[in-house]
Amino acid sequence: MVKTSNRLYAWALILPTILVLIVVVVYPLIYSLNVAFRNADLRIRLNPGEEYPFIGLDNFLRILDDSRFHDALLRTAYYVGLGLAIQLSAGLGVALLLFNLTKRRALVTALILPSMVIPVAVGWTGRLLFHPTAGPVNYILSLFGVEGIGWVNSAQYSLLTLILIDSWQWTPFIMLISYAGLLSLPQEVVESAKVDGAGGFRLFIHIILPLLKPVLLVAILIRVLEMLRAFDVVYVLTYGGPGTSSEIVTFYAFIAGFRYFELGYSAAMGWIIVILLSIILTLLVRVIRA
Amino acid sequence: MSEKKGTSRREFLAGVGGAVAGLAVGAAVGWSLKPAEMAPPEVRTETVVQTQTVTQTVTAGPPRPFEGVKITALVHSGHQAVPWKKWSQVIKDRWGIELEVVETPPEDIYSKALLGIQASPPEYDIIQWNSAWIGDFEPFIQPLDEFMSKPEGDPGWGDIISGYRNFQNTWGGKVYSLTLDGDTFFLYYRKDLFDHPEERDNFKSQYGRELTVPRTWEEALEVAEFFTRKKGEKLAGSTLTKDFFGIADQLRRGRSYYWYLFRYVPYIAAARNGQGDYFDRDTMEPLINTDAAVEALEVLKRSKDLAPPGVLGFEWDELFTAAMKEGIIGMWIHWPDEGKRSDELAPLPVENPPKPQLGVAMIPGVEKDGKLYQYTIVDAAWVVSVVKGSKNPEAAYTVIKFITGPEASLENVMAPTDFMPDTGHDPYRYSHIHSYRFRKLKPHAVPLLDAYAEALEKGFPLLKIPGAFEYLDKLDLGISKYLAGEIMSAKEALDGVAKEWEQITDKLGRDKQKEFYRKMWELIG
Repeated sequence: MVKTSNRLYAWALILPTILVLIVVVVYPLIYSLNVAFRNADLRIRLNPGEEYPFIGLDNFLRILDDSRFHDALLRTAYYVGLGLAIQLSAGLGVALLLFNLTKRRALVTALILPSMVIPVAVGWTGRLLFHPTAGPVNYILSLFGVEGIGWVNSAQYSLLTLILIDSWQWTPFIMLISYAGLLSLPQEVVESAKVDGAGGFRLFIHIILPLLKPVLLVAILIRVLEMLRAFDVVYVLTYGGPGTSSEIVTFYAFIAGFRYFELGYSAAMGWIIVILLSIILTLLVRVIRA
Repeated sequence: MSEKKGTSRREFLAGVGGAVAGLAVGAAVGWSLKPAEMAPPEVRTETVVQTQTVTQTVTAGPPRPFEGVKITALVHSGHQAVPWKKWSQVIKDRWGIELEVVETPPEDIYSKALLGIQASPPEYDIIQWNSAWIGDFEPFIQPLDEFMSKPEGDPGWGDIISGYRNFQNTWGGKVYSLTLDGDTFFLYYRKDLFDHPEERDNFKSQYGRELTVPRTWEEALEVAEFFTRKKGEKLAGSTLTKDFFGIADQLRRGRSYYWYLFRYVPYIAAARNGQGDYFDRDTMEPLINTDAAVEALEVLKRSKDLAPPGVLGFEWDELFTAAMKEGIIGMWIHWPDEGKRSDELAPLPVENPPKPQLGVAMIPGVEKDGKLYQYTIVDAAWVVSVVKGSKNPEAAYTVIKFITGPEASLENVMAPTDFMPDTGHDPYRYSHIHSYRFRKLKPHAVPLLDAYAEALEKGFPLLKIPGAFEYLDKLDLGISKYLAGEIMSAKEALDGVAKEWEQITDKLGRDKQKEFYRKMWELIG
């Protein structure tokens, strides 16, 4: 009897949370899945009570044939891969430097400031920094004899500029997580390795890095999720251009949904992204568990 | 600060008017319409007393025809919402209408408005929307012809510049909207440079003709080439401290198609004996990959090569900054903003610059068989409509008639003033461009106002059929790919665009699209 009332009490406590989750997470997901199977184009005139026609897998099959989507997907992979490599190496490097400094609190605070800036502001800052004629980046490069890089205005460099700006904003995040990981390392293991004669590089490769691996994988997981959903900076900085040179998959989904008003097709793209994210997430979680 | 001070002045004027005449409406109008900068100064205690007078006289005035009626307007957020709020008290005082202003960011207006006006009953009585969306909005908005035909119903129709009447407000022979913001485009040029004697002499000796404001794109490219110079070279008789560029366009992905259309329209019109078009009206086959269209894109590419290195990333801010703040551009095409702010033009980037002067002219065209084909794109811009199914359509019409009408709209387009903060509204009535007050208050805008009438008489409509945004975005993408070097030939880029346009037409229904496209050209008068 007591057990039943406890169970009811427990359900009563978690019920509001479940209801909120259903309303704000489950329902929109199911709704968007429903939309993905329909020709939901805002330009189609519906009669009162009429719904957008159900078209089965047509939107998903169309994605298979859409070279613009495929190109955007490849660009996204490049964006995530290179961005992550820069952020991991720089973030971990700075964390190691900080770890070896004695007075570092103010520096840590200063270094994490970029990750607090809202993405739209980051985009606008990027437009000013990388302006080809009036921007400080090209001015500094010109002092070293490097002239006229187009950055966001050239098809060659626009995606790289996005990666650099994302790295500027999010390297501190990797740095912070790595730094916290370094602080929590079991010092006796590190000291033993030192006693056994392990030098700086070997100590890092064989002791510190393996011990930091779970922490770094969590950081990678978070960053991959974030980068695959990148949108704001692209919108402000390049609008996917010039041409399609910086059009990543989320931006294309946005264009399809909110510029061409093909909500069904856009939702299908969204679900493809969700499936890809789920696969990456599962793999990463397995690695972390291992 | 100045805004607060201005309000009290108006209250003072209104109070005096109300006390002397005893007319409630008159007092309210005076209170609201009299610009602050023309009123005498007064002290705070007087303001309070005069405000009370206004209230009393309003109450004692004639009955207001829509007393207690609530009208909901969906409008562009931010500065575009300013006049709606500013005039809401006047609207209440005159007609008794409670105006509720719902603000939404411009990028959300299409979807929010479309969903709101499809609801039953509709969520809004009035919507501010972009005239390019008429193909999608037509079933849900009220034709205004009936309201306009009633006694005192004329919104000052004949006063609206014909380009806007024809290409923004009229659709299939009926009036669906009233213009709120008269967007269009002009060619801006450095008058200080064009007038410089040394430059004029050098140009004549180099090209064998006088240096004049270009009337054709070939002339424009010549002039742009002439003025494009490196830092350290001479310009206007003095040494350049920065690189200088003859021309610049706004070529960032997203809206670069406008700068292509400035070339496309005269080229296609010249090729088809004056009939500029986007499609063949009988078959809906795109004309966007014809020889004329390809030539226009090549002209754009040649212009790009004479522009600053980052021009493929130029949006509004970048072009405005390069031209007006850095002063490194000789000619550029833009909205009316520069003309309204010509006093902000930076000096030329030379050691001893002449006094900066901005010139405003028609966009270049194409000359063929002695005839000049010259057009200004009448931008698909912000208009207002009464929503079909509104419970109070007469009251809603009264509101939009007032907001866009001659007296209120003059204040809106002159902004920023002490009375009206920046609204983002550009002139769209003959009474705006010929306004004595406007010209006195903003003398630097006079060249722009003079250019308006000529430009709009040669207006050409932006595409506005269902899917207009998708058609134009696909065009934008093709142009951007070509200019960025992703596609090597103009023909190949435009063939790709034409293929995409055909697909959109088929997707939305060729016959329906043909019908809409024909409606686009059915003009009044």
